[in-house]
Amino acid sequence: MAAPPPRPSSAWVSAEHRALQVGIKVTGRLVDYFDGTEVILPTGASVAEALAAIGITADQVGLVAVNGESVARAQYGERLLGDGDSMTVLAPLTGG
Amino acid sequence: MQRLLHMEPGLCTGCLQCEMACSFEHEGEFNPARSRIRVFEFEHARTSVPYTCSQCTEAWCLKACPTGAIVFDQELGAKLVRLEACVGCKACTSACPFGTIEFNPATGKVYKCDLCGGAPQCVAACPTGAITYLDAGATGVGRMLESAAQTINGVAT
Amino acid sequence: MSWQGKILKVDLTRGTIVQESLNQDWANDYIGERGLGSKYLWEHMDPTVNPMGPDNVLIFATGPLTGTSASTSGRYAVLTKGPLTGAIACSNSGGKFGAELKYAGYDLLLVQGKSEKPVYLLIEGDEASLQPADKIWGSSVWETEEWIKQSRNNPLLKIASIGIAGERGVRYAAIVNDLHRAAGRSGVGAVMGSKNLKAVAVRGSVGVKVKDAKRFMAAAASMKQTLAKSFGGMTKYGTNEMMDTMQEFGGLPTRNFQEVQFEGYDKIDARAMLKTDQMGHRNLVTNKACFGCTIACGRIAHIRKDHFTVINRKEYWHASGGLEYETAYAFGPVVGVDDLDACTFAGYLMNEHGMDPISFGVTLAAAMELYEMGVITKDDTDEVELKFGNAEALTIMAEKTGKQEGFGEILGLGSKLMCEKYGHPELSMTVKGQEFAGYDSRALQGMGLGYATGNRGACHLKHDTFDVDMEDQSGAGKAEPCKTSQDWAAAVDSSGLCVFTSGLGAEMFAALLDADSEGDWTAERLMVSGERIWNLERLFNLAAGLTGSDDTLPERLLKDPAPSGTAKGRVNELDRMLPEYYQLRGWSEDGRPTAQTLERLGLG
Repeated sequence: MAAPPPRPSSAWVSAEHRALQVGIKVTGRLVDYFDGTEVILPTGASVAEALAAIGITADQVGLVAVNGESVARAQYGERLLGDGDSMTVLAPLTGG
Repeated sequence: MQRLLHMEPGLCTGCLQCEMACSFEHEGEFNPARSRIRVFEFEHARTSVPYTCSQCTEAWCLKACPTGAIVFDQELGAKLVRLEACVGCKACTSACPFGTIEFNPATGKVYKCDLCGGAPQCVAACPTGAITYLDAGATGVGRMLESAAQTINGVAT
Repeated sequence: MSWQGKILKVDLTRGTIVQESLNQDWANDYIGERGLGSKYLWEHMDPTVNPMGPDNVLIFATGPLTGTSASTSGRYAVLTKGPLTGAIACSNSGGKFGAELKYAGYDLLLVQGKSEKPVYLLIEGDEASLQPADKIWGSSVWETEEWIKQSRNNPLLKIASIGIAGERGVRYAAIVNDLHRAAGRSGVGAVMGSKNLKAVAVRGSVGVKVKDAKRFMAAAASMKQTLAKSFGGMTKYGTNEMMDTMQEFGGLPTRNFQEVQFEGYDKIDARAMLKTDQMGHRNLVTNKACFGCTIACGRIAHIRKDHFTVINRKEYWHASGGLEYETAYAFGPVVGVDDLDACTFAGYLMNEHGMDPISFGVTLAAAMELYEMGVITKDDTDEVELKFGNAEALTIMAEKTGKQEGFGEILGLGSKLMCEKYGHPELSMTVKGQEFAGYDSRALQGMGLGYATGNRGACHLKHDTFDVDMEDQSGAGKAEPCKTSQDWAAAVDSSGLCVFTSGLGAEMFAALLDADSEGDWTAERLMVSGERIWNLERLFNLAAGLTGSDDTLPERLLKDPAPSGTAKGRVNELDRMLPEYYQLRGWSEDGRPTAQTLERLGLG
């Protein structure tokens, strides 16, 4: 009888099924949309997808920073996240 | 069904949109001094309380009026002032223990809450729901509900 | 329509009160409130006079929308020459006083001269009189309100008054109305005090009408709906919602602007105000609205009875005005304090004694830096250890300044005069003598430009570049949004509505104003009027002796890079932004409106 096939190593698992753990910090009124501290995303997830995962739309955001560096709004779809990254989502400033 | 105005002071922010809506409805201008509903502030302006005529079943104002100018609208449950019969004697303003019928020096007649004929404008204008127009026989239900909710699992919160 | 068509002129020297028709041409060109008041100021005084002298003019001005059912319709402006800055002062306030002035039948109140004895102005219906205020001279704002209402047997009077701070000329004394609202900045309260005018008390019953009721109600309803969608956070959290955003962004001025992030921020932010402690105490009691306002950003708070500030002081156990963002910043990060109850208590004192929390906090911060440097010692500060983070120092000094005792007399000069007195002018974080609000110019570049070019000195409310400042932290492309938003803010400030409605845009405003007021109001007309107002303010300042060289920022913000945050390493790029700004404005290289610009705006 042939040996069972070896367990697939991560190299065999397709990219979509790997997971990223991204730390999240949300400020201001946005805590009413998401008050957790992290989100699990599929590998290759972008900032835009991270926002969708935490239930915040781009127009609700004042600024997104990843690992302390701000991400331009036009780049939300392109800027990809890595495992262990930390994303800050700032509410807009309204004055007062 | 008869409805009444119900006030929840805890929801009132003191914005006075009700006073403006009321005066506009009845006088055609924004004039809180001629509003039938008034909001009062207490405790160093911590609490704002809207107040107006509670449409007494046996109304002092109606009984005090010597010309019968105040009448009872059965359907609405409201006491209304018939301006054509009002002579401005102000007996009603003395008789009402709550002070919710008032004399207007500009017109020489008295005015009070008339529930806007069944579509109270203060209710429509209130942004927080501090004033509602509820079944006259069930105005306490909301508060009962809140109290009941606090006894869930036998633990008062 | 919308205007009552009357103003009241009070000559305190002669003791006379005269009614005059509203100058409708000026109302047409300057909208109302801030703009109209500035025009009346310009036409009634010499900008070179001593702001604390009898020739300064003090104006209370309402807008065409004040007293209508549009949301936030309670606004009025105080116009005068500011003792803190020597420039035009236009301080805006909410509460209920402004609407009541309109209901008394007056669009604007113009006060001249100086009364020989302390008086208060009483307007009850169609009767206006100057009443003796000797019994309340030396009283707090709160005592004054209570006394006037009782002595007139009229609980519905709306009152704007000053405390000891205003009586004694604290440079940033405020005019407080309705207990916790204020025309806070630039020392307008000191002007009132210099005239021996203790209070203005009003109750009226003249209705405000609109031109086209149906259109007006529809426009007002539409604005209310839009506001409800965009301002939910403000209702729940108040403006202090911004503190953690400013912290994470790295623009939160800390310890007299030495840093831009504050480690104690989460002890005094909006969420801290909503936390219930083990004893069941929560700082926030409820929220509160100004007249007509459907946002209700006002906070009502209370302090733990066993806290050092109020223990054994029952008179402070009641709830009172709670922290909004500027107060939280001025009593928190800029002085390094993270004690929520202490910050709240200092806020109470500002309302009770009538002072601007921003200027007081930043002045105290400068004093703390002087103390830590050893320039001043306990001998100067009444034995109080004036170190950053000392909550007791904050509250003791707030009270001393309000009552003008001890070192409070020095703090009452404002940071510019105080720092000059001690030989360290560079520690005064001001523009034109007025202290900065809670946004660091190294992190928010356009804000810095707005501060530097502000007609009333450092002010965060007269422009709005928040969006572009967050998107791009360089000085690029900031001049245009700054200029445009300055013109727009001037229009909003002149309308009678709160600056928090400015995000609704000129089209919505024009629709509302056009249904409310005579004449045809369009978005374009609003913007041009705003620009006209901005330039008129500028002319006042130039006549008062200010120049383009006053459009600057302290060295700290131009030379010392932000030590942390998203703007780490940056300084404010004013030298890059300012020339572009002057050009856009149609001003000369030294900041003077050109003849062409003035002609275009009808100011030439």
